[in-house]
Amino acid sequence: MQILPKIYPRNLELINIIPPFLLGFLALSYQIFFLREFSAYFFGNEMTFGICLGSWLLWGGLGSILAPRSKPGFLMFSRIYYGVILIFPISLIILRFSRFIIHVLPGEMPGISSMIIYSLALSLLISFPLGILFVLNTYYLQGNLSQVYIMESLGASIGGLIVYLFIIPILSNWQGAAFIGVLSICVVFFSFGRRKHAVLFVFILVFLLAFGTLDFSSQKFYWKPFQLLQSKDTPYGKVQVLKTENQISLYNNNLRAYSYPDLASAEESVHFAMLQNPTAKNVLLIGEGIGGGIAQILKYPRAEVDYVELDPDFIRISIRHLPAKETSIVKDPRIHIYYQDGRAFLNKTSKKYDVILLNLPEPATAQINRFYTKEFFGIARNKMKNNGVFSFCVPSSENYISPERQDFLSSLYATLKEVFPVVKVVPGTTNIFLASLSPISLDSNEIMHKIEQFNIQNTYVSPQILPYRLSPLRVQFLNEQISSGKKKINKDFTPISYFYNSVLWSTQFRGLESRILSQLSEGKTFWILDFPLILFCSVLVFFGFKRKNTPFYLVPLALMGLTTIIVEIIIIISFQICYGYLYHSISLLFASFMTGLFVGALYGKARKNPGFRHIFFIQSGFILLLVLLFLFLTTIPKEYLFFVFLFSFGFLGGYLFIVSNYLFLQEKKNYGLGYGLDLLGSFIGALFASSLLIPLFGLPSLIKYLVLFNSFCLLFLVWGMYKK
Amino acid sequence: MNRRKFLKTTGGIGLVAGTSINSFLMDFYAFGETPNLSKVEARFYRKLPDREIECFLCPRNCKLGDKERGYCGVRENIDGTYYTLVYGKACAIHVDPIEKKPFFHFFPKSRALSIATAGCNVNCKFCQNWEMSQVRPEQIRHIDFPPLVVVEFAKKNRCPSISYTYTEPIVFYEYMIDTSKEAQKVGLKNTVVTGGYINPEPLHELVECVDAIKVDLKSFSQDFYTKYVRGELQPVLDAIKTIANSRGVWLEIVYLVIPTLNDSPSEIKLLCQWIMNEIGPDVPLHFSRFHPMYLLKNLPPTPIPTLERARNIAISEGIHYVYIGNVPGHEGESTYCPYCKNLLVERVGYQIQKINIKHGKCKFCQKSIPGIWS
Repeated sequence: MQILPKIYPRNLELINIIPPFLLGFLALSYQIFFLREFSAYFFGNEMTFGICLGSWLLWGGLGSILAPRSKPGFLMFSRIYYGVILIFPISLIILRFSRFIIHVLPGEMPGISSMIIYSLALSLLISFPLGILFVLNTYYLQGNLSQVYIMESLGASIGGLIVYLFIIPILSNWQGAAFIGVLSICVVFFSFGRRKHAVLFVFILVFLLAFGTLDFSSQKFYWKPFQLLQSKDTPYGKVQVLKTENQISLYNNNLRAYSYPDLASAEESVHFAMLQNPTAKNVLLIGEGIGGGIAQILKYPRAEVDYVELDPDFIRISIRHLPAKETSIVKDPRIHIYYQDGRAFLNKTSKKYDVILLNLPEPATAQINRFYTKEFFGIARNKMKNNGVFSFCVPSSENYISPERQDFLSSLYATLKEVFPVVKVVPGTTNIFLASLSPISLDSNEIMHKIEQFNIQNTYVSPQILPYRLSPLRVQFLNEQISSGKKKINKDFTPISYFYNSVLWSTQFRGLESRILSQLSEGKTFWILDFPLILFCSVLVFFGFKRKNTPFYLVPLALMGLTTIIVEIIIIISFQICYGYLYHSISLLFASFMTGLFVGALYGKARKNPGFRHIFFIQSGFILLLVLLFLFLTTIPKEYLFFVFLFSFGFLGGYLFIVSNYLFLQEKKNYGLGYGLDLLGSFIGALFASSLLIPLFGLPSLIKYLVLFNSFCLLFLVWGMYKK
Repeated sequence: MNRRKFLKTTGGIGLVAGTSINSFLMDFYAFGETPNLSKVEARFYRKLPDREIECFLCPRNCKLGDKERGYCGVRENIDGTYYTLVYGKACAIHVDPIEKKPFFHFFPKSRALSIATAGCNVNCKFCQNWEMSQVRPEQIRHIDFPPLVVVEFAKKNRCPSISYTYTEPIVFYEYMIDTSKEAQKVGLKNTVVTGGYINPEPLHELVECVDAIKVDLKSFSQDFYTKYVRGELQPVLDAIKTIANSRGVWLEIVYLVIPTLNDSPSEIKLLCQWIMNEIGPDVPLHFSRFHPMYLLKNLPPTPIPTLERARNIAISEGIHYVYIGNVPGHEGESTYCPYCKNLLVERVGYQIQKINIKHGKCKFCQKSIPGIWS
């Protein structure tokens, strides 16, 4: 078969594989960098993530569906590649400087509407042309869609692996995007580009190199009028250091992790718990400690601290900028630092602690939420001595507890109460939760007595402040508020607290959209799960009565997009719950899904004469896998099984894609529709799964509903077979 | 698909999606609980033709049609009459030390019954009480707490004063005035914690009914007021002058210092010169430390040297009583005699350690110290 013989002068067999491979490679690497930057500048909670990934998939799908239905000139084809490679860094620049357009300060929360507009507008620039390219590639391979899909998924899995394992640990997001751009533009120019494009090639190359080198200066500009000292994109996020007078502030993804000196935060995160047990010897600190927390613990003469921090860069950067007085503390023989996931550490340790201090950000994401669940509290209780104290802090409101904050606080309180018989909460602009198996006192006189007895020199948790902070009226007010809330239990597989946190976060913004989540929190299962199921069945019935065959090929494809993305999210969340946030394993989890897609597609292509029965079997396979996943999550599964599951879902997805498209294309030559529907299905899943469905209904219920959706789809296929 | 077809399709999808989300939300609102709001006729408004009204309580001077609410969200034009929806609807009730407001020259060591309703006439991005101030009254939990009950409650809790605080008391003007009058009858004092964004006429009446006013001056630049407050500086300065010139009402000024936004020495100097020229050296001026809040919760807190620099500027400009707020244990929390430099009131946090003022005079040099001390 001869492809492009006349217009392409250097025709190698590579032309069959390079453009679609590059498409997958670019699509996934760009998606990773885009999501990382977007989360950093628009505050990465689950909703942001869902909206951003959702927009990306939406435009990819629409690009594919709305792509031209004819073969454009070859020049145009390669120009789109050049265009995407050029536009991607531009979109990252626009994203970084978005604050000047929407008039917010560095570090200020932009509204939800600006976030939606930005994610839609910027992903349109990149993902839409990538969707079009999928279809154009198919035209260039004479309609050999399976070949395009196979190479695209291979490109995506290799791109994903390279970015996660080799680029992110070394380069910043901008540098990484520039590197991928340079690599890709060279591939385009030297393989299927044309000499005519030499000027364009050189221009883009120079632009990319400049883009990669201007990363830090552009961040400095972003932070003006603040002084940015250092910035580093670590695998876990963007760590930045700011200086204001004598004060250093460390930021993680634009969220302030700590300021130094900030005695108020340091003291309150430590002393309310330590003063319950001032003779504590074994103290565990999970999360920020270097900004002042450790120094506070060391005020207690017997205390020895196991300090667990996930991101080693965080401590390295802190040490570089903090005064020697603070960093020398790290060398104190009473401090032992562990660079690990806090939950994984607590799971494994055989030690029993007197005090466990959880000093992490509030549960704003599923990633952090697993430190605030009933299961985690249970682990903490088991690793505590009988008179041990467990504590964490969340930002709050001193004078008024809004219904949204009440739901959030009461879920944390009720969850602690499930595990610990004694739970008390300190009022104020920060609420400190204290839990124990033994009595806890919030009596200011008693605490003041201990402060004097142990000669603890404090400024904020001090005899001068405590009588007001712990005034019985304030304590009572907060207790009444918390105990009259909804008191939903936050569990690993039903992470309701982070949903309530998102609701609370959304109420900060003015306008109708800020109330959507709040209203949805009152929503019933019927409207969010049953109604879409009924709607789906009605659509199936509607299609069933039509004479066309195509819905029987396309509906499973769209449902596959939805199912696989939700399963990916479910598996990643479960993996983190069981094994912690292990950066490399999570990268490999994504890669195993992509590899599954690739192998499944290869397998599908190798089938001779695939028929409708294949779709039927694949659909049954999905249901079987979902049921197995449901059973699998009732235990603590072996680590490798997570990879097997994702690979299997990927395999079925890739296989279905090839078969469905093969059958569909026999009836209609629309190369983009199948791919587009797959992405639109994924769009719905990405948008709603982690921001709404998982926290509200939990992983098990969501899997049950996925089984139902897939079963109805199977019945629909039976109907199709019967009709035939 | 050609371009026109594409635009038609995507436009159509957008329109359908937009309309359905909107109607979905409207349904949600329609089925919400009926809010328990007050319907007491507001003051300081004039009726206009066609059932329109114009509110002149604050410098926004909202012109509203029927069923419309003012910027504050708590006053509504119903059929050509303007009503306050939050009269007697308190959403926060606490007993605080008076130093927390902060009032440093007004009944030190006393307790103030502090109340608030929903609403505010500005929109500060750093509001500490945004969950009350930036919402509508139907979105908030409140209780019926009419003026007489407030006064009874204050007496029962041994509070010599009632403080209208947390949100912006100007927006619950009628409730505040009526409560103040009731409180005055039984000898209780009234204090107001306000942004000072009020028109002269209502302010003149207010100063007659209350005993102390603390004005939060957010900055000394209109640019800051436009960007971060959504208000105007000049009316606030005018209000400060009016209060300072009124007899029988005590004034203190708080300036929340936000790093890099309103902390430049030149701005602080201008502010201090204005105070010296227009009010005089005796008004207590507090430079408060900013703790990251609300939409600015990722800004760093104010470094203490910034506050110290501001205080030094004010002292060198001649202001007598300059304080540093929200930094417990700092020497700038205490009062010193401007004449003999001795320590007059030693404060740590909200606690008073020592008072060296007798009958309103410095115990050491006998010079009179302005304030209402007992």
